[in-house]
Amino acid sequence: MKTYLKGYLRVRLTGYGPERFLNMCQHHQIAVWGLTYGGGAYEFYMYQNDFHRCRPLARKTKTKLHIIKKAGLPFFLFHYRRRKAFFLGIALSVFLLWQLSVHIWDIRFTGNYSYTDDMLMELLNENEIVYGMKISRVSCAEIEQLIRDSYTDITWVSAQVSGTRLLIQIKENSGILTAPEEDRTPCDLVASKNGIITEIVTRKGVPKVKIGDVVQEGQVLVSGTVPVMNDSQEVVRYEQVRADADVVARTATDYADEFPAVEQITCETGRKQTSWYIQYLGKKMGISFGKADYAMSDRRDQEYRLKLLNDWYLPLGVGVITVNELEVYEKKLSEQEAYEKFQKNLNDYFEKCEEKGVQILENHATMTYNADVCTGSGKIVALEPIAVPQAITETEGMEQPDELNGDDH
Amino acid sequence: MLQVTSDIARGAVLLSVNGRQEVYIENYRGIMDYTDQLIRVQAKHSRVVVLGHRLKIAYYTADEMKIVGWIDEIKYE
Repeated sequence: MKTYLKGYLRVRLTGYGPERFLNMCQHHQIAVWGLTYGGGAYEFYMYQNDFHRCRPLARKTKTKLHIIKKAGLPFFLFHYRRRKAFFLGIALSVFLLWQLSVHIWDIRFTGNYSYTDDMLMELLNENEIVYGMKISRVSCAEIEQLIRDSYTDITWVSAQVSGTRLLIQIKENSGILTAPEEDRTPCDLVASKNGIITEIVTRKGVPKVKIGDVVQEGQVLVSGTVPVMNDSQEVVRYEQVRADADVVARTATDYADEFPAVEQITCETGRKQTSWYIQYLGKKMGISFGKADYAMSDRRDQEYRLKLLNDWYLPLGVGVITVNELEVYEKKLSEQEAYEKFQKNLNDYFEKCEEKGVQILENHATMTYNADVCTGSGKIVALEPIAVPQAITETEGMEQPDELNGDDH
Repeated sequence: MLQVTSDIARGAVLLSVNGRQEVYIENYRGIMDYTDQLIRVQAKHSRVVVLGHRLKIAYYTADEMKIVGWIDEIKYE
């Protein structure tokens, strides 16, 4: 590199005492390398500025120096000295690269789910953090503070400048946990559907049913009206509490499902329209070839950002928008396909039931296949919790005992 | 303390040979003869002759010289 910058020559040496000349070069500390001998002459490399110094030595030793080749930056510049535009171009491109490297050309957000990129970008823009701003003016700590202050449910923000990119990582609070407010209003537990009680565990209240009882929908299972006894086991008064119990019953539910025997299928027709756009500083300038006037379509955008190195993004990007035409056609379901769909719906129903704590015991659902509609029906026998709270309406038995009323009747 | 042999302290020529294709000569005074088959170098107390084929002087400075090529023989005169 140093050799190239200084400029060097390939020189041929002929004459009476070439060895003497070489020794004198050594004595005068003139650097010589790549010395070869051939055809009665010596050839070697030397620096351009040493050549003038060794001319008196050549005269003294009666040798002749002949330049074969000139190489290096000084000769290159001299050769192209008239091409001003070329050098101007090089200088301009270096300047441009330098300018491009001191600005932010890409802002990326990661880890945001409920806050979209556009929302966050708008917030940054309002605070003068925009595409094209100088990297030296970016304060990562301020950006972090700004985002945290603006959105309280963003719990962690990290801003980082990498090359010409501003990378912002966000962690959102997935949900603020609050202790559920306990409902303390007095209530009874009533049956949500008909069934036979198989299990009852009462924590609060007076159970009105026992295992094996047949209950009807709306029937009180556990009463929230609790009698308070005195020492003689007489009812002194009644207290209303919020009944709490696990009541499981064997129930039979009617399952009903209905779906059309034809299925709508969406597919691409193969016709598509492609248009291009150039993205500059977040703005898009489109180049479109005709307008896609499809009744139904599917649009896909793909964007390529121009970059020099890994993180050295440029303010330009190219995007492709592909609009594919879609069509919908109806397909008649075969009996087998209809049955599969019925099974799938039934399984989904079972899964939902299991989430609610329902245990399926028997499944008597069957499918009927018709020309235009398929129906699924039947009884599902299951063990399920049936107790639901209901405000106390029953006042029977709540009258205060006579002896406590103070009346003499 | 730096250990230097008495020969070197007296300015004796120092040769380092790598295989048959490289010779380093240190503590030399000057080049007496140079062709592609013979290089004769003057040292303080002797002359060193390197014989071979396609001999080239890769570089030489006031203290050191590197010879490359196919070396057949090295002798003192």
